[in-house]
Amino acid sequence: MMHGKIAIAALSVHAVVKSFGGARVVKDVSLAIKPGEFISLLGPSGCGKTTLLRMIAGLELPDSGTIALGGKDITSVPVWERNIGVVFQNYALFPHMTVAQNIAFGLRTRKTPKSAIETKVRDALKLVRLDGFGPRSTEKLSGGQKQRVALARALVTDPKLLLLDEPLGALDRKLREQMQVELKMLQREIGVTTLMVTHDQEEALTLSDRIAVMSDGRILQDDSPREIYERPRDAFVADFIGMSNFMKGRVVDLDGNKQLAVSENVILKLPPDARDATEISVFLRPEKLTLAELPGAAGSSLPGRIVHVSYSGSVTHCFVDVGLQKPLTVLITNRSNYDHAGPRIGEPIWVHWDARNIVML
Amino acid sequence: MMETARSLPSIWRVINLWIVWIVLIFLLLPILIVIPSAFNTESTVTFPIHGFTLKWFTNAVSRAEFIRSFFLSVSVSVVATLISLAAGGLAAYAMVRRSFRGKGLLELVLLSPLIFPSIVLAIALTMVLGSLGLLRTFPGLVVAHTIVTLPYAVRAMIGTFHSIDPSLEEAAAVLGARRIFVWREVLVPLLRPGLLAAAIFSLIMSFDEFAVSFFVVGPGMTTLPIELFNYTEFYSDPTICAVSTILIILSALAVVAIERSVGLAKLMS
Repeated sequence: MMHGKIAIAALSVHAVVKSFGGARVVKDVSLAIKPGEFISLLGPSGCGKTTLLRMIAGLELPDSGTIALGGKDITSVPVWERNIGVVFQNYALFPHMTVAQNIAFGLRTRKTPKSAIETKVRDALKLVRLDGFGPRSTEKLSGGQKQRVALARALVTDPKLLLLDEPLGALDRKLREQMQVELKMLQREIGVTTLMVTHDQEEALTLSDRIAVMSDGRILQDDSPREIYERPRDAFVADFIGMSNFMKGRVVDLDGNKQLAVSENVILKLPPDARDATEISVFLRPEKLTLAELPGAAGSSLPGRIVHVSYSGSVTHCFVDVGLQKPLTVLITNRSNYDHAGPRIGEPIWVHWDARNIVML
Repeated sequence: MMETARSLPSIWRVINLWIVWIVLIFLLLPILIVIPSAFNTESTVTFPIHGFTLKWFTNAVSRAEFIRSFFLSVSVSVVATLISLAAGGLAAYAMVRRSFRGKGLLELVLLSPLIFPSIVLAIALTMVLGSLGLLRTFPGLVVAHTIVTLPYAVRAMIGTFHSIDPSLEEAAAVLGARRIFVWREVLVPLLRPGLLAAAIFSLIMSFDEFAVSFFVVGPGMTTLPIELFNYTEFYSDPTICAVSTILIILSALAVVAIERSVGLAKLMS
């Protein structure tokens, strides 16, 4: 496995359905992953993402639909014959075995010769930077170390596919960010096709080549992280990933340009490629908005008053009441450490934006 | 506030301590009388004792019926324990991991010998074993004892299975382990404290069993407790005290073994 000899395989999930006691948890999901790709299933808890992962692993049987790995239908292949690496949420390390015995488990089930096991375990420990940890008990390891043992155990058998179930969920923030980088580098080095289940949007955005956003048993959008963030297809995706300012209104034609009538006297410019519609929702990401003391271009700025300021170190979120249903969230970067005259609550202010950044849902 | 909180209960603590001692003495007194009586020179069971002798021990180990019945009791308890561990282990697994129709009923049935008066069980067993021709046979005795020991084994192992993370089995399966490999390499090693506790409980329960055995045994097929009972019908010397002392020591060793390996408190919970 350490020398790029891995048999990377494509995964294809077709029309998979799964119910538990009458409740449909996964509703007709199809998904294709190219060899070597890193895909995230992102969604809130209970959206069916873990059930989908468990069906791919072979821990659950789909009610209908097919799952194929490397062109071979594995829908009803028993779990122990699939050779898919899984890193469980709680790591599921065997408490009665040492680190080395844990990693060797998958090799022993495959009746690998003893001498080969030793070399492979040593290589796997090196790969996850745990050289010399072999004889240790798993009980005394830190969260990050357990995570790496689980990863080494999953990879040592040269799996055709790697499944990660909320792999970094149990780690604290600093360690999580560090493991994200490590995980991604490792995955790229080995080249194993990877599917990760997560509810952490940041994790999905950083790690994945593609993100499939799931809600209520369906995949809502399956795109690159950039597309998911900048061009979400619907309000759920827009709302689930990052912060958003939603505005609802009527599309009106004014001098051949499409405009959005949010209310009687608030009419906003729409991007040039605006499609025909009557009632629509549009949204703007907070970092696409700016604050200014003077009015901007008509239809791309609104006057308001700051109602709340939330400082978080590198950035500050300002909530500006512009007379719409909800205040607009504006993200400003804290560029200087000597100018303390930041936004103040109650201050009258203008919010500006570029109409091209408006996304129509 | 702290003052009263400390001073007031201190009276209660003293009373509490006394109650504990009284209960302990009440429970242990019969046993504490049996042990010295085994060394008494008098040929009746009396207390306090009048002199020191080991002749009752000599008598106990030289009587063929005691030796024979001791080994029968050991064999029956070992076989009943092995069956209880195997069947009870699988039953406990099903109880903890699976959900199926009639699970509650099965649990009730499995644990019912714990609540049933043993005389009821004894009579029922006599009727069933009798009609099967198993009365006064070794297999019949084993069946009767297994019914008594199984609930203890199931209970001890249910507790241990609850403490085993189900995702470990899934992790093993994903790593290529078939069911038998999962049992051998993951479940049995992790079940060890439960297996040990179940074994010790089951051995003691079977070895000690009287009421059910009383109906099932017969000439040439008598367990030690019944043989002791028979002995007292004809003799009133302290030989039974000597045998009891040996049994008390064996039981105490078993309790120490449990405490060392799993801890009594954990076992009883």
